[in-house]
Amino acid sequence: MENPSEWEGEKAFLDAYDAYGDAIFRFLAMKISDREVARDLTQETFTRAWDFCVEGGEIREWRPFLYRTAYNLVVDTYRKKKTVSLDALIDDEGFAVSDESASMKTTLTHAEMSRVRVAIDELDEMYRDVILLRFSEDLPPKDIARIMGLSENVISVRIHRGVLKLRQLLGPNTKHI
Amino acid sequence: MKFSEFFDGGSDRDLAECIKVATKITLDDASRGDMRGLLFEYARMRPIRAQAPSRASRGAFISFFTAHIHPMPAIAAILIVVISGSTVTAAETALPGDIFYPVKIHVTEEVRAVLATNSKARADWAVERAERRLEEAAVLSLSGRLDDATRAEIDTNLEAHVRHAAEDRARLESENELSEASEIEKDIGAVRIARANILDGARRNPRIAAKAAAPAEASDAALTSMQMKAAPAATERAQQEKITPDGPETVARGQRTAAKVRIEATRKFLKARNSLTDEERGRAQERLEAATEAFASGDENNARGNTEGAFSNFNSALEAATDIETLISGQPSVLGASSEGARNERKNRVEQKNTDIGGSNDTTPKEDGKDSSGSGD
Repeated sequence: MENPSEWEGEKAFLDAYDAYGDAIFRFLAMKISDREVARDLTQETFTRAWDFCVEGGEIREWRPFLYRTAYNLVVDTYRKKKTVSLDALIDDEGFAVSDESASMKTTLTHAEMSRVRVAIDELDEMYRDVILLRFSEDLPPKDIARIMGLSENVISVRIHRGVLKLRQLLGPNTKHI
Repeated sequence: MKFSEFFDGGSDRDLAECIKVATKITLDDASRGDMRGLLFEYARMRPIRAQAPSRASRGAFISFFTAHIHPMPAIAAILIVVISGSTVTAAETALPGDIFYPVKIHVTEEVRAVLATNSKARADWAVERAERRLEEAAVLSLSGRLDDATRAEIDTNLEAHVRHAAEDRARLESENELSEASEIEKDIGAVRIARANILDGARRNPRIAAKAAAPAEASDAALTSMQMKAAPAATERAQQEKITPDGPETVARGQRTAAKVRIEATRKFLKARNSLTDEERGRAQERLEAATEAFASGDENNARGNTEGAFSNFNSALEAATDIETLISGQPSVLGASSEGARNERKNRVEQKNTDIGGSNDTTPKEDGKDSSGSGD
């Protein structure tokens, strides 16, 4: 790489992939329930981000930018209906499960995690998306609002209602697990 | 804290942890590494300053393709590099009649077709190419440049894309990928419906064409019969090819495709052209916003499985977008008839300013949060 600005651009791009590649893949996989397509769309998300840079755009915050690109990709180009449940998707051997929350994993049994996933699956898509972005991806409501093209207030309301719904779905039978 | 406490009086923080653990998935190491390598090569292939690639980057680019043992795309891709990145970028927005249009059709799009790794990806790309042809037709129609020869050229290319998609659909079926084959079949049906609206509709008053595609009642049976009436050309083709009539989901999808194509075409037209009066531009912008809003509602209804509601929304979006063409062509419309003077003035300006029509076709968001795709919630 002869030009320092090119080198810096490439480095920022690859650093963004290292930092957010898994998260974007997870977001896409959970949104469309197809790991192969999610893998392709993850790659497409990053190549489009790079194209944006090539065409003169400047990305100041990679994380929300990448999520929004991924979200638009699904909305605009991928209209397939969900055919696999979240639980079946994650149970699939093709995915590596992160070891980050080892202590929590020992607290939650396989069956309990499965129940959480089934409950998330039962949420309406409008709540499911924001719940996953908020709690699985740790995104603040402001960023979720930018990604989905909605107001921050609408996102906050959806998060609140989604949590209530999730508690309803899991609450009554939780102690019998 | 035990699981029973997470959802039974536990805090949102506990809930967050629980969801995170239950949904924690990542790419496997091999996939992550492979993708990183591909992205690295891609970045080298398209340097940020859009200048001719250096010798080193060409070497890296060639190694990327040769490593995947795809000689034809490698040759085509090398051709792209030789042509230069800016040419490829220019070709992406080219329309029939433009100097770079053959590069778009025969080089850049062909490379993507050959690089598609499976039948589903190939079929998806073929469908997308067909939609691109429709969008080109819609942009040309808005600017009054869609003559019979151009329409025929676009139609021929579109039919080739549809044929390729159908071939890959058949492969998917033979591989017992019935769900994916069914999706492609619906996409093909949708393209045919959109084709009838845009290419056939361009021959007559576009608003009447849009009206003809709208059902009085959006019941399943009405949707199907309406579609068969609205798209006689598509019906003839279906009969010739022994294709079963489209179901309501396909019809709604067809309206969605037609609306999407017209909205995108209008957006590009308004962005590139300055020949409208302020009043006309304001009205057109209003209708475009209405179309975009109805389109987004259609997607929401689709996501909820409300096909009838989605159809109604997409139809509204299509009508609103078609109104704009009616306004620009000087025909009476809900926007109000254009005055003869305004039409003449516009005609003079068009003759003086033969502006090329183009624009971005990607879904990449702008950094300020505004979306160039026009879709969303």
